[in-house]
Order: sequence, then C-alpha cells, then structure tokens
Amino acid sequence: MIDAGRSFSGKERNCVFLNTRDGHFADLSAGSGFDFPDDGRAIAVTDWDQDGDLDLWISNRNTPRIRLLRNDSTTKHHFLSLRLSGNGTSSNRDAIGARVEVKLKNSTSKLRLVRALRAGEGFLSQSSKDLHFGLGEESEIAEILVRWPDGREESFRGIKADGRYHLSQGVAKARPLPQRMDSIALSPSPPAEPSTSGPARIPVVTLLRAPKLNLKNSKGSPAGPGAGRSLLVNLWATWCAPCLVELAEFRDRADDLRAAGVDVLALSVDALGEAQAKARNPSKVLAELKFPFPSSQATAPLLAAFQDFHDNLVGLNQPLPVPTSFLIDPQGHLAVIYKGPVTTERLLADLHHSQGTVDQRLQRAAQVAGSLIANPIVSKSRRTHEASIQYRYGLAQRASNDLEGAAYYLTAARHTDPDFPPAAQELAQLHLSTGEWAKAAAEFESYLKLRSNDFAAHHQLAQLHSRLRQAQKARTHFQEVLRLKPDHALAHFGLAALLASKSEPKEAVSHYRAGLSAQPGNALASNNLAWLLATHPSPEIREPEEAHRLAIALNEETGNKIPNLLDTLAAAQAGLGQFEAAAATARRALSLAEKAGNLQLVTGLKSRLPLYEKREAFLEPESPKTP
Amino acid sequence: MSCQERNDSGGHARSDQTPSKDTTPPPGVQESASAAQENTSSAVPNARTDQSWMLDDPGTDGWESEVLAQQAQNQLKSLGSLFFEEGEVADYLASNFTCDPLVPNHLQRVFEDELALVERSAPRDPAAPPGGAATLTASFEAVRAHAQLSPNDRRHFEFKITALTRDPSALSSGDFQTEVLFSLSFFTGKTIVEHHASWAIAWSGSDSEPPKLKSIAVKIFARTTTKRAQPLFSDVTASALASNPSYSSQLTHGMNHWLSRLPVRAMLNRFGTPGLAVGDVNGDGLDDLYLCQEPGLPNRLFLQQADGTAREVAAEWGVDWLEDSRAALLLDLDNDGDQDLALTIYGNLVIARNVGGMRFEVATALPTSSSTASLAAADYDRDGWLDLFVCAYVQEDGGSSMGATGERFVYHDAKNGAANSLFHNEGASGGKIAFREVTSSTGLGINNRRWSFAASWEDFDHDGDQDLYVANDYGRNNLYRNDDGHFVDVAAAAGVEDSASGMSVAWGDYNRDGRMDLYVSNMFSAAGSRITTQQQFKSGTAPAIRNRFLRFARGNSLFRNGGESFQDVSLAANVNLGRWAWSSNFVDLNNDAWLDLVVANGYLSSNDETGDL
Repeated sequence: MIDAGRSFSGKERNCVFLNTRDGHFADLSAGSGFDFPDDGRAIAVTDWDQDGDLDLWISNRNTPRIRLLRNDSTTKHHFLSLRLSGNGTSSNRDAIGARVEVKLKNSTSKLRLVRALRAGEGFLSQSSKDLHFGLGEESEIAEILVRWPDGREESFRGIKADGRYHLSQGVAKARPLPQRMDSIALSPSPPAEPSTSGPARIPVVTLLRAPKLNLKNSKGSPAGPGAGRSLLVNLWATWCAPCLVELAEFRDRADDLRAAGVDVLALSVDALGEAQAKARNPSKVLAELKFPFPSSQATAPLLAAFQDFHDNLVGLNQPLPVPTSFLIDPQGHLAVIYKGPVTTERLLADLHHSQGTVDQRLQRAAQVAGSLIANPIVSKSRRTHEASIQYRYGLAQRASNDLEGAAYYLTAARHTDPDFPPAAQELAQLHLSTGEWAKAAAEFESYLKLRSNDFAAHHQLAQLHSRLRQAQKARTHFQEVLRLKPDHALAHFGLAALLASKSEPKEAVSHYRAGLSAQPGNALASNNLAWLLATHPSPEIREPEEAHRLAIALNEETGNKIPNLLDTLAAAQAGLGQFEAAAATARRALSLAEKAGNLQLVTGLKSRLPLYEKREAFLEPESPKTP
Repeated sequence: MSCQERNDSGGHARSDQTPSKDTTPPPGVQESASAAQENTSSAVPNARTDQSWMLDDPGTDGWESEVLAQQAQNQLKSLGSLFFEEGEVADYLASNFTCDPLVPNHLQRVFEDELALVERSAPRDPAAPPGGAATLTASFEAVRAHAQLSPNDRRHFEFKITALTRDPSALSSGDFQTEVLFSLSFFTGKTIVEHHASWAIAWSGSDSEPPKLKSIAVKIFARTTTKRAQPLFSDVTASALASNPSYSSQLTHGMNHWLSRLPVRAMLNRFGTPGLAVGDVNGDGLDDLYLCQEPGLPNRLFLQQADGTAREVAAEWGVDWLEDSRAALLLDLDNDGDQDLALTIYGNLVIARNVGGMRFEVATALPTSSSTASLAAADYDRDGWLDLFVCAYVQEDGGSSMGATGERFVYHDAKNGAANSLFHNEGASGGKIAFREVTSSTGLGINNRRWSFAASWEDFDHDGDQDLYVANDYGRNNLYRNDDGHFVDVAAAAGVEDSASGMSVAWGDYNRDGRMDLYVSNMFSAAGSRITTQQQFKSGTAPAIRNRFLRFARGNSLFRNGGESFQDVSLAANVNLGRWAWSSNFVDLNNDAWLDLVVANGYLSSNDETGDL
C-alpha cells in the first residue's frame, strides 16, 4: 500500500487547541490557519522575528517539506522573553533543565506562571531556548525566580514586560537584550508548488544482478554484450516521441558508445499494454531510424522483472514510464536506472558508477548534492548498513531457493563489511546445506571471530571438522561449546566419540557420562558408551556390568528388535561370561540385520558370533572403532 | 506504459496506459536484425520492508458494519455539501425525520479575548421538541448565508463515524445508529468560524438504496469564532527561504517525489523523518534552524538574517550530510558558550563541535540501535554537562522489520523494538567531547525496547532532578523517575502508561498550578473506534485486551500532574482528536499566559485517498 504511494490517513488537517482557561480547550484549527492538510512531522517553536509572539517551523513528509508560520497576534497581551545561561560548571551553560517562574505584581490569584527549559520534545523537534511567557493583561513583574539545573535558586528583579532579557546564573541582575532594529522581510507567501517530477536518473547504491536476458540472434546463437562490456537496456515504444529522439541519439553516437564499451539493446513495449493509436511496427521504425544496435520486443515476464528490480531499488513503486533505460555493467549488475530519456554524455559519465565504493555510490545516488560524514565510526556504520541490505537480499534469494544467488549476495555482504556477523553465519549455513564443507568451515571460523560466544556455531563447526576428519580442530570447538555451555549433551557425545577414536577412552567415557546425565534418553550415546565399556581392549576401561545394564535398558525400551542394540547387548553378555545368551542375542541381531539389509552389521555379527560360540568375548582391536 | 516527454518546461507528461497484469506475451520475434530473449530470469530478490502489520482496509475486511459505515459516510459527505451549495435535503431523509438545530439555541460564552470567542452548548433541554427537515434546511441555509465569501480553500466540513450499532431486535429492519464527530469551518468575510460537534444519527437502511437519516441529535456543540479576518498564522515560507537554491530544488518536493528516485534503506524512510532543531549557532542573538533529511538528501542549516529571512549554509558549515538523519539538537555540549550539534542518524549519534560560530566539526560518533528517532538532552546526574537520550524504533538488524527472529510482535504491547540509549557526557577539553553509554547502569535498560519515537525530560515530581518520559508505538510508554541518577519506570503507578501509539511527548503547565502536565500524541482512528466497539471484535478475548485496542484508537492524551501521579483528562479537556498525530507542543499562541496546543498530523498523503482511517 505504501510502496505504491497510496494515501493512508493522509490529508489530515493539523490541529490547534486553544486553552479556554477552565480546564478545557477549544478547537482553533481553522481560525489559527494552522490546519494545513500536510503530513506534518516536527514542530519547532520560536519567536523567530522577536516581535513578542511565538512562531512555528513545521516540517512535513510531503510538499512543502517545511513551513515558517508567523504568529500575527494583535492582542494587547504582554510578553516576556528570557535567555538563560548556566554557570558552566555546576549547571550546564545552556541552563537546560532550569525552571523559571514569573511572579506578577498585581496578581492575587493562585495561578502560577512557570516554564521550563528543555532540549528535545515533540517528535524529532527542538524548540528555541529563549523562554517565552505570555503575561496576559498584566504588565508589572514583581520578580523572576529561577531554579538553575544544579538546584540553586536565584531571584531577578527590575524586569519589565514586553522585553527580552538575558539571565546569567550567579549574576542577580538581568541584562536587557538589544531591541531588534532591522525591518523584517517576511510576508505572507505560501510555499511554491513543486515543479513537476521530470526525468529521473537513479544511480543505485545496492548492486543487484540484472535479469538474465538469454539473448539469441536470428540464427539462434547467443547474443548480447561480450565480456568487459556494458549494456543499456532501453524500453521504448513506437508511439512515444521522446523515445524516438533518444534512439536517434544512440544511433548518432553509436561509435562513441561502442568505443566506451557500451552496447544498447532496444526493447519495444508496443505489444504490451493497451494498443496505441499511433503504434507502428517496431522493426520498421528501427529500420527507418537505421538503428545500429540489437533490438527485440519486451516480453511481459521480462518487463515484470525489470519492474521488480526498479521497485526494489526505488522506494515508490510506480509503473515504469517509457522510455526507461537500465544500465547493466560488465559484471551484470544493474547500475543506473533512467526514467525518461538519457543523453549519451550522461550515460558515458555513468559507466563507472558501479565500480566505486559504497561511499561513492551513496554520494552519487544522492538526488541533491551533499557530503558524507567523515568519521570512522559513521563510515563503518555505512558499510554495515549496506552489508545488512545485501544480506537481506541473500536471505530473500535463499527463501526462493536460489542458493547460488543467495551465496552471491551473502558473499557481497561479507566483502562490503567483513565484520558483519549475520552474513558470515548465513553463508556458513548455506555452504553447509550444499555440502561445501571446507567453505562452510572457513565461514564458521570467520563468524566465530566476530561472535565467539555463539556455542551453537561452535558446535556446528566442531561437527563439521569431525566430518572432515580434522580431529584437533573439532576437539577445540567441542571444548569451546562445553566451556560456554557445560551441559551441552551433544557436544559431550561428539567429543566422546572423537576421544574414543583417538585412544583417549577414559575421557571419552567421562564425556559420555556427562552428556547422558544432561540428556539421559539419548539412545545412540548410551549405546556407544555401552559398546565402549563392553568391548574396549583395556581392562581398565572395560566395565561389562555397566555395559550390560545400559544395553538391557536400551533393548527393553526398544522392544528387543534393533539389531545394533542387540549387538551391543551380546557383546556385554559375552563380557560377563554369559556366552549362550550372547550367542542367542547375536543370532537374533543377525537375523534382524539381514532382514534390514544392514550389510556392515551383518559382517560384524558374523565375525563375533563364532567367538561367542567358542565362549570368547569380543574385544575391539587396540585402536577402537569409531562409533 | 506512460510516455515521458521532454518538453520546454522539463515537465513530465504521462499517458494513462499502463500494462495490464494479464497481458498476453507478444508473438515471437520477427525482426531480422533483432535478438530474441527467452526465459528471462524473474528471480528478483525481494527484501522490501514487511508491512503486514498495517491495519486491514475496513471496507473489505468482511465487517458488515463497516460496509454500513461506508454507506453512511458517503451519505454524510454528500449531505454536507449543502453547507456551501444549494440543494435539497429530502433525498437523504427518511420519513418522520427529526432533527435538532445544528447550532443549538442556547450557547454559553466560555471564552473571549481579542483573538476568538468560544461558545459551547448548554445541556440539551429534553423537553424541547426536535424539529424536522425544515430545521435541517434552516441550519444549512444559515451557514450558506455566512459562508458566501469563503474561498474554496477556507471552507471545510468533515464527518467521522466513531461508532455504529444495531439493535439486535431490529436487525431485519436494516436500521442502525451512528455516533458522528462533525466539524465545519468557513470564512464570513470578517471572521473565521468553526463548529465542532458530536451527533447521534439514526439511520434507516435498505438493501436497494443508500441509508437515510431518521434523526440527528446534537449531543455536544462548540463554536469558535475569530475576531479577525486573517488567521492567526501567516505562512511566510517563501519569503523566508526562496532565495536559497535548495528551496526549490529540494524542499518544495515531497517524499513521494524523492521515493520515486531514492531507495528505501530503512523502515522509517517512507514515514519521513524531517527533524527540526532551533538554536543560535553563530551567536548573533537570532535563532537559526537545522533541518534533518532522509537518506540521499542533504540536511540543511538555515542562518537567520537580520531581516528574518534564512540563508542556507549547510555545505559551508560542513553539515550538508546525506546520511539518513532523524533528529537534531543545537546545544552547548562542551560548556564553551556556543551551540554544538547532536544528530541521530541511522545507527549513530553524531556529535559535532561548533568551531568559532563558523562551522561544525565532527567530534565523535557513538553507535546506537539502527532505527534512531527523537533525541532529548538533560544533565541527569547534575554534574554540569548535558547528557543525551536517543530513542530507537524498530529492530532492523537481521532482515526483519518486525523484530529480531524469534521475538513475538504484540500489537498492543510490543516489547521487541530497538533499544534506546542514554549517553553520559564525560566532559570536554581540548576540542574533544567524550560520551559513555550508561543505559543499563542507570536503570534505563528496563522496559527499553518498546518502539520509541520520542522522549522528553522534565522534573515531574519537583524534586530537583530531571525525569524522563518516553513515548512508544504499539503499547505502553515509560516514565522514568530519576532517583539520584538511577531511573525507575513508574509509568503504571503514575497513571501515564498511555497504552497506544505514542508518537511524541510535550510537557507544560496548562492549568497553571505550577506542576508540569503531559501531552502525548497518538493516533486517533474513527475506523479503529468503530471496529473495536463491535461485539465480534476479538470476541474470544478478555475484555481487558479489547479495551486496550479501543484505547489505541482514542487519540492524543493529556495528563494533569497531581504531584505524585497524573490524571487522564484527555476527553474532558477535548484534546484527544489530534488525528494521526506526530509532533505536539504546548505553545501560548495568544500570550494570555495559558498554554495552548499545536498538533502536526497526517500519515501518508497522495492523490489516492482510499486508505484513510
């Protein structure tokens, strides 16, 4: 709704509520002349012209962006304007936070007249620091009481109504400010109407990959720009007079354009949309023009793709006009959009746009010239912001299952700001999902340099290293997980398996136990531990009773039908000397494994069963198997 | 497709042909010298801001009452034209129509000064018989007689239907009742008159034609009549600014112009964030003005000239920044007697030092949440240096505009916004100004992620230190009481949670009892009021939640300071209807020593007015 520029609670009239001194207010929106239908935003209150009443600056979202509204009050009411200065030591120099009370001489009522000095109120607004008091019909001031920001109180006397004074902390005498002598050159003069929006040149900040054109020439061979060349895709129509003028200019400057490395592709949109009375055959028109560049007709999907690219790069999503041109750089980035005609000179000057830095693109994309804040922290913020936008494109591509596109934008984000953690993290996940493990590991390493306390990422990386058989690295990251989160069961199990394979069975057993105390129901870990305790070659490690207990429990829970678990039980039974039982269990496991087609297990069981039948236990060789 | 002409005036002529969505693709390419394209990639990464939180269009969301409300609204809009143009009332009226005089007979003068006369209706005499069609006709004629001299841009009327009910026993009849806020303004040649009233209208509905009015009862009526032909304010913008090139090249164009050629890089870019700061930057005794602009447009610094006009000097002062700017303050941060600049931009608080009243020089920049908003300064710990509080709105990191992944967005009580920050001024020396973030250590980390738009400091409890009120969108506001430099959120206990769409904060003693009262901008929504009062609205939800939604639509809030706590007097004081409000300020417009209120409002205007609330 907003993208398309529709109105939403728009054209609302600004309001003025007049204090009727009885606890109520009366609507004076029209009578005040403040009831502009603008999308008002900030209001700054100031007696700008120092004529004794309060004027307003108001800024808007829409046109005009700013108005100065002069208060033309003609009442006989009196006023007083005070500028304060704190002492600059215990009170800030601006005296922000000071509270001032005006005591009127003839007033017998309980009504008080108190104002405070603030910096920042309303919405995005700061009003004048000159404190303004309307005094009504009273013109005699008894005293002014100031409570300074440091809490000290001070009284000022000898102040007359309808004046402007400077009150300095600790200097009990008010200093009159000079009367403004110059004549004021403000006059009723509503803001100018904006000139109509003309052609727009839009150098983009975020480089998106342009739609693939898949151009073929009339013989069916691939066509389009070659390596190192830019392409201007020009959308035009035969009924559009400025389009024809523009195409003629491209024709006249064809040599210059080609020499500068840019080709033009003219895509007519005549066949799209409603038929035009003045429409003609596009190829005839181009032939008459002797147009020297390739041309074609835009298809609806291609036009929609360009419209979508425009809508992503431009805040207000309106249908593209003709002519519209898209400058695509040699790397395939959409670099500049021209809504309306573009001159050859402009185009040639823009060819380098996409090659610049983010800061250069930001500066060139500005629609009114200005500068960027020269400060390393702000400069870093700019890069991070751009990286976050590229990152979002990466996420969007990933959501639409374009993994290659996602990797492209995420890599671009990493390049824009190497310290932007989400891009590295997402890229690591992406590589992980496509099985590019070495790349994934490298991205995880980068990410963890930025977010070293992300235990989940450490765990993923440890698993990845295990998979890549980089045991030492895997071990380091498993340990890091456990340092950050000591009860991380899966890290315990992963590390245990790693340690078991590295002939550190004692540590392996202890991690299995730690993991199982955090996550007692983990059958796989329980089975691995049982196997280790049943079959380890070293008698110091072997604990067949416990192995048996674990294996019995596991098999009971699973109904004695999982061949792997039965295999473990058989080994534990054999370890306890229950060879008949072990052989029976192994036979049952073997038949189940054969049914399931688990050849590896079948082979293993066929080697173990004869041992049990010979009344021997099965022990792993000195370097135990990796579970 | 529209055609862009290059004409003498540089104008932009558009034909009205736009491609329809179901256009058949053209036949294959026939040109011999042409290239053919096929299988164009349509994979456009769509990373636009999520706007799923927008309220539904009330006319299409299946609420039967909303369809009736729309019909009634159309009838009223048409009927209202009779205030200014001749016409027949009979077509709009059911038989036996009854009507109070639209201007009640007995008005009380409640206020009068040289600026305006305010009259309100006395309570309606229940014994007085209502009139009929002739009464309505006479009411229209009376306005027409006075408004003859009104030019079109000085006469307006408006109806807002805030409630629609149907008697369950009369559903078959098609009859219904509405509560309507009515306002009318016109120029008589000598004065500007405005009527503001609340009406109860009974309608007779039917399937075949628009509903007709059965009765109008005028419940509340107020009339403001100025004592002068010209409005209080003159718009002197062009005479003040037009000599600057940036005036016509930049400031006469609205955001829709810029957004057709600039990207939206952050959620608030579409809303517009043209912050304003007034201060005397060159020490000549005259207020100057700094204007913030959205990304890709330079901020502007206007130096007031002796004749009251403003000269734009942002580039020569080194502050024509293109950054996504939100709010600025001009204030003395290093206690050297001149006005420095504090500025919130996307992701940073920027501090620039005033160098000799000639230019600004960036002294430091401090990382903040990305989506910064208003800025407010005070010396909260009374060490003599001004500290800065930065509001932040949406949590934009992580690619979601609705908050960080895994955090729930609750429209009426959202706590997943971006974190606000308090920066302590560590003092300045040798041209350096240092700040340290103290948000958590001062207790401001509590309740700190509530989509904050604005904040303002004031000593509400009169204990000598500065307390802080923060206005938050989507829920509760904060009142942080300052206890020796440590903050405690006492908004609930003090009665100023004001759970709604907080947009701005203003402090002022409107009733002249010496205590600082509080005015908070919100969104008034007639549609919101209608829908949330319907039986079926969130019918499975606890009444407390329903009331929270209803409260959201009420509009602005005025809280009278009673010392320790506040009383909500918004409705009684008649200051809630600020529409979709942004900045609000207390201002004594007529120098009578009593603070009035000004409200800037309106969300998004364009030529298409179909989405109004």
